[in-house]
Amino acid sequence: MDWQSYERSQEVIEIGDRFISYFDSGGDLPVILFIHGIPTWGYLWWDVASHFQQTHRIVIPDLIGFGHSDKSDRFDRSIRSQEEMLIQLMDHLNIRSFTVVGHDIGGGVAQRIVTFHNDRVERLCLMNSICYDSWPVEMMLQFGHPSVVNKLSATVAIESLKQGLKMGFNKTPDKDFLEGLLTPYKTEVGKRSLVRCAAALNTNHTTELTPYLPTINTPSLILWGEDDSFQPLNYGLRLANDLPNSHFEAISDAKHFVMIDQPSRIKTHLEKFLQPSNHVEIESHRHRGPEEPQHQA
Amino acid sequence: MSRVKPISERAAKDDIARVYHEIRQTLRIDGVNLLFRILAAQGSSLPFLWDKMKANAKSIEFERLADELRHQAVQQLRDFAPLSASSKTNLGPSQIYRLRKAIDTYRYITPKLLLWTTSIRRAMTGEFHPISKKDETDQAMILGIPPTMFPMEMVSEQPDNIDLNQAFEDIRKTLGTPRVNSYFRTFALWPEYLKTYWQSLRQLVNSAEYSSLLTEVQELSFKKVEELPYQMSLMPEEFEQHKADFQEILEHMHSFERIIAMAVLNVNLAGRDLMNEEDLSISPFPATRGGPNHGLAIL
Repeated sequence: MDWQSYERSQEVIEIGDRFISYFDSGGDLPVILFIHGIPTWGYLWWDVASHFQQTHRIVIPDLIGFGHSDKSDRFDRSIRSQEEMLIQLMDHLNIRSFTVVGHDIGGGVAQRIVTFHNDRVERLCLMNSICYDSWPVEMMLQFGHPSVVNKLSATVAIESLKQGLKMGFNKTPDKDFLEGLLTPYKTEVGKRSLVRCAAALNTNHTTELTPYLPTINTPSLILWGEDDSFQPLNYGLRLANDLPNSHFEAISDAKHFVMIDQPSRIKTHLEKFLQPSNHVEIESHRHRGPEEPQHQA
Repeated sequence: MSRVKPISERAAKDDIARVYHEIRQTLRIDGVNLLFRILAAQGSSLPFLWDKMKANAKSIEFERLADELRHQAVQQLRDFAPLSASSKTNLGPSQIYRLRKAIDTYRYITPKLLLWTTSIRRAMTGEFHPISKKDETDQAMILGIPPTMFPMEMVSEQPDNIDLNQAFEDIRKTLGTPRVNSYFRTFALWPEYLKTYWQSLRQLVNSAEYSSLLTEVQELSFKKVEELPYQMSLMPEEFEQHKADFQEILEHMHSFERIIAMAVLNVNLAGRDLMNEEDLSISPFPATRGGPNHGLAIL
């Protein structure tokens, strides 16, 4: 599906004063929630996610501040806020439990969901995810400075972002695909929103999870493009070490956007991970630690 | 309208940046309209005019009059055939939702912009003599951009999309304006919708019926400003002091009165496809009156 058709297929929901655009394949099937990162939107997941439509209900939101969700200038875009919004989204959709798949900051959101809403998550998959203090990357730190809103026009800002993004692919991606990924940010409002999203990247929101990761027994799959310069392989290995019920796969010939560089292998790994034979593990994945993690004030 | 290059929000500095911020907060809009961006490029006319009009713009009376103008402008369209642009375009649920929110933003702001422009123009021609003067302590409203307002997100005036570029060129030619007004550029976020909407609209804009409606909207604004609470005069020598050309600014005001009256009509025509007359008539962002002494220090 091209990005224009994908946008047309998106639904929308109001949550408080905000709105989220999302794709939902519907149906009474096990649910997979796919969470994108920065500076992309739900369309990033289409090729991989659509592979699972026959067997699963797939839900792909645009995080607030991104894509075609609310891009006004008046709210918190941190991954902590995103976590809360997505839980409310799933509540609105009457989805009690789900598998969560997260990439980049979407992986950070996924880690927060599995930590603070553990009873909702059946399985966790992280792909080239932020974690610990692996982020924000330099490019995003610079992009998130408030002065960028006035200093750079949308055209210039997005062009420089595009050049930076290309470093995240093993091969230069299809031109239309890359255009589609960045189109929501090509207006001054879109650019401003992305700057605010970059400004909201807060390492504390994953470092605070560090003590809890070893207590999370949720079946977890960690897939990592080996040649990622944004989120190096060692961070994926660290996650695999800390998450006790996890399986790690390094994906060769792949960089940060591993699902675009090696879609077939990603689909194969995910398919295997989602097999019903894994169901027994799901029942035993409750927290083993002395106390449930609480949101910090 | 001259070919003055407007000052974008991004490029605004110093006093212009101050005024742009106040415009957003006072008119309760997440964006600065072309009218103000053109004035910003003409000496210090924008800060001068904005400060002159500020007391009226901040008043709850200004808001009430805009609400009435909005309501009456919608009633005028009662016998007009619908454009049906949104139903002719294959928009998805999220797109329709955002389009409707964008229409809400423009139908909120265009009556206020028209009142502002008419007030300035009448003051410049010595015709601004409001008859209503209420107790000053009762006037101010609570400022600030409504939290659910869709921002004025706009496609570039020179878009990469060839079809959009052609549509913009046709809009400029047909309406006789060197620039494409904001609401067209927002509707262009959904290119197929903009093209369909414009194709339907362009058939109307040169009709006698449309001209008559346009005149009625401008007359509505003309009458409404007589109820504003604060006096204002604008003498040519004041413009000289602010390094602005009185005649040129007056021409801008005449042009923009027509352009913004068109915007009121055209946005309502878009809105009719998506909402019923009653919803279209009422303010999507009702303002709240400030308590006693609210805003007095500023006034």
